[in-house]
Order: sequence, then C-alpha cells, then structure tokens
Amino acid sequence: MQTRGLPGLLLVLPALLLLVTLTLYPVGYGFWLSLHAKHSLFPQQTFVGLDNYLYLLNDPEFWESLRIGLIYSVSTIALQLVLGVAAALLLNESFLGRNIVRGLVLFPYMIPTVVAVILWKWMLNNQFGLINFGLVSLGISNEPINWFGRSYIMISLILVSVWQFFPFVLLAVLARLQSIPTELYDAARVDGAGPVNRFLFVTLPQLASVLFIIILLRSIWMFTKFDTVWLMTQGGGAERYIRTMPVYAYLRTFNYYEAGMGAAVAIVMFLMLVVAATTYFFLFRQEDQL
Amino acid sequence: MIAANGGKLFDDKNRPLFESKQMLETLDYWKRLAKFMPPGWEGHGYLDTFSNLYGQKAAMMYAGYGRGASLIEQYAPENMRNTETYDVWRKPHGPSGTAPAAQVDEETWMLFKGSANPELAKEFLAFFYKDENYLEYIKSVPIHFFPITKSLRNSAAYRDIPMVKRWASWLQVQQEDLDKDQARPTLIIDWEDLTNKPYLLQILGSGVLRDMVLDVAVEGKPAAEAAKRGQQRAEQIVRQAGAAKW
Repeated sequence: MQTRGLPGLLLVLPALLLLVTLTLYPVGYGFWLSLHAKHSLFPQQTFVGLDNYLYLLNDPEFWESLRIGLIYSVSTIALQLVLGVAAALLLNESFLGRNIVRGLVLFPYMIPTVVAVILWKWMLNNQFGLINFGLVSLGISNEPINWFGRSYIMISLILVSVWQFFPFVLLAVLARLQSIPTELYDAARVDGAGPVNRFLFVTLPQLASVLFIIILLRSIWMFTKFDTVWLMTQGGGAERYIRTMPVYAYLRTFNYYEAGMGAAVAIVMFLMLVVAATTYFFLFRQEDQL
Repeated sequence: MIAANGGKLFDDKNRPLFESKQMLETLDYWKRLAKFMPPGWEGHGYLDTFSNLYGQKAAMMYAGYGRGASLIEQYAPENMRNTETYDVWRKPHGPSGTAPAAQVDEETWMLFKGSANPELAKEFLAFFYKDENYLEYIKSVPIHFFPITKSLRNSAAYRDIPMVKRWASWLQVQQEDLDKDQARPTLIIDWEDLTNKPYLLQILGSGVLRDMVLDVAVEGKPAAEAAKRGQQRAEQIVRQAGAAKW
C-alpha cells in the first residue's frame, strides 16, 4: 500500500475538518432542514419534501425580497466600484498629506457595522440629523428629508453600505495600481494618449484581474448582507421596503417561527449564488488567467 | 383598534376575519389618521414616536406607554412637563364598537416543566411579589410599570412615589381600563385567545397586520385590497401552524 501520500493527507486533515465543520455541515444541515416543516422553538419536525420550495415559488413576499435584494446589491456594487476606483486613482497620485488621507479613507471599513449604522441613523435623523440640517441650511431642500420613510429608506441603506464598503475596493485597486509598470503609461503618452485613453487602454486592462475578484466577492457579500440591512430598521418601521432575501430568511425563521421555510430561502440564495458565480467565471474566464 | 370597533381577528375555527366590516372600517380609520401623522412616520421607531410628542412635532400618540412620562420629564420644555400639557385620553371606540380597548404589557413568568427546582422558583416569586420587594421593581420604571397586585397599587408607599403623584391621571386611565376589563395583551381580543390561539406570535411576527396598515395609509391602497392580501397571508400562517379548523 502506498503511504507516501499519508503525511500530506494528515497535514491537510485539520483544514479539511474545519472546512467540513464550518462550511459543508451547515449547508448540508440547512438543506436537510429545508425539506422539513419545523417550528423554530420546538425540536420536532415533519418531512415535507420540496413543499417549502414550492411554497416559495408562489410566495409574493419571496419574489419581492428577491427584487429588493437585487436592487440593493447591484446598486451598492456599482457605486462601490465607481467610488473605490476613483478614490484609488486619486490616492495613487502624489500630494501633500496623501498618507494621512489613505489612512482616513479606511475608517468606514474598520469600524463595526453596528457603529456605522448607528452613526448614520443619527446623521440622517429627520428631526435633528446633521445631513438634513445641512441640506436645509444650504437651501438644497426646503424641508427635512425623511431618510427612513418609504421613499428614501433604500437610498439611505445604499448610502450607508457604499460608505462602509468602498474602502475594500479602494485598497485592492490601489495595490494593483501601484504594481502597474510606469513604462506602459510612458509608451501611451508617446503614442499621444490623453488621460482618458490612458485610463481606458492601460489602467483598466491592468485592473481587470483584480476587478474580476472584487466584483465576485462584493456581489456575494452584498447579496447575502444581513447586518447592515437589519440594523437600519430592526424589523420595524419601513422595514418591508428594504426586506432583502437574508432578512426574509431571518423573518421566516425567527418571526414566523418556520425554520424549514427560512432554511429553504437560504438554500435558494445559495443556489442562486452558485449559478451566478459559475456563469460569471464562464463569461469572464479569460480574465482569471491574467 | 379592532376590539374597540367591536371586531375580532379570528373566528372559532381560527379563520382570520381580516375582510370583516369591522376590519375594513379600522383600516379606513388608519387611512384618515395618516393625513395627520408627521412626515415619514412609517419609518419612525418606538423612541421616535416619543420624541415627536415631547419635541412638539405631534400633538398626540395613539399608542403611548407609561415610560413616556419620564421622557417628557427629561426632554420636553420645562413648562410642559406636566399632565396639563400631556395627558392620557381613553381611546374612542369605532362605529361598530361600543367600548374602548387598550393594549396591556404583562409580567410573564414561566416555570418550565422538568425544572430542577420548581419549589425554589415559586418561593422566589412569592418573595418578588412581597410589597416591599415588588415596590423596588416598580420604582425602576414608574408609571410604565403599573403594579399587578392590588395590595401594592393601593399602598401608601406606592402612591407616595413622587412620579406617581405627578402623573396620577395617567395611572387613573390604566386603572379604569383594568377595572372595566378593557385591556388585553397584544392580539388578544377575548381572554380565551391566550390558550385557544397558539399561532398569534407568528401572526405578530409576520407583520401582516402592520403591512395592511401600511398598504392603506402609506401605499394608498383601498382597504378591501389590503384586507384581501392580509387575509390570504394570515390564512397561510394559520395553516402552516397546523391550527386551521375551517
């Protein structure tokens, strides 16, 4: 019997066990739970097969949460990319105090989510918030905006999320920018390329590989984001206007007390992400070879 | 509100009555009330509703709680921190009702089956509810914590608490609600609902009632449409809970 591979197997065994425990087991248990009708507080469950999934197909709340979730994730990802890339380009240039600014822009990403949300809830408060005070004082708005009402709560959520997570994009893009050979820009200048063309034909192609990863990771994280969304309303007020799929899964489990149904929502999310990620790799697979 | 309009939420077979005349009238009432609410009210949290009141953005809170008295004493203008300015009005009843109804918070204790020391738990409760001990608990949030024991409620020690004296009229309304048996826990219309309707927590948690109000008061939908959607959702919840008998 070959034993040459045994030491290697033993060395990866702890990591494998960790993977199984923290990833495969929860997903497997979630799938098993989704095939049952189970009250969240009681240990008994009844096998119902795919009934939970069939229910979701006809559940208007499920489809609404998917719609809201897509609006939220697509908007925040797009804005994070634009803001993150723009900030990285700026911080790649030399200017006085650049290092201090580089440290300051990381602040949103470093603070805990609950602190970030509380901070913004105070600033956006329609009675005594700083944002409304500024808007009204500067004459931009005649009256305070109700940032947590039906009309603006999604905008508020996107604003908070973009502010908190654009530094991740900035960091990754800045690191890549600093490794782009300057000869490429010199050659482009010699060929008569202006700033815009240098960005489009030198910078962007060089950023393609890192943007590929950023878009993939940010998409997964924003689509599955629960904490920021939940903390904005904590289940009350205008919550239904920002009820994304993770929030809906939570509500099904802990408010409706239907753990099986909540698990079904989570598994559907998981499958959607697997399909999306697979499609993404298939469409942009050449980029991951850069 | 539905109780104050002579309605019920569920019939004897646990079927939701969300499309009843009383419910439609209640939803229409919400629609009319919404015109007078502060802008963005649907996004206001629990404490925001109090700040609207003591901050003079609103003249009335529909469902206020006793802890509002301490918030008023802390934050309202000094000359307004009294019952002449902020008092409690017994809720009106609707066109299909005959008596007001109020919601009551309760002190819920649970002794679990299989507990290791059930006698000790009972002993603790007896100790807790001795007037001299219970009084300390009540004093932690006076006005909001209204004693459940008549002995403490009628005692001089309780009635002499300065805040109780200052907000006596608030407590009078609470007393009247209890005396006339017109106060119930959340979603309880009749007392037997506490045992006959085990799915009420799911109904509350699902937000179906809140969504019906938002549909009419914020989205501007007709009451019948909002009620129909609520009815379908509530029926599904009751079925999922295994309590449907219709």
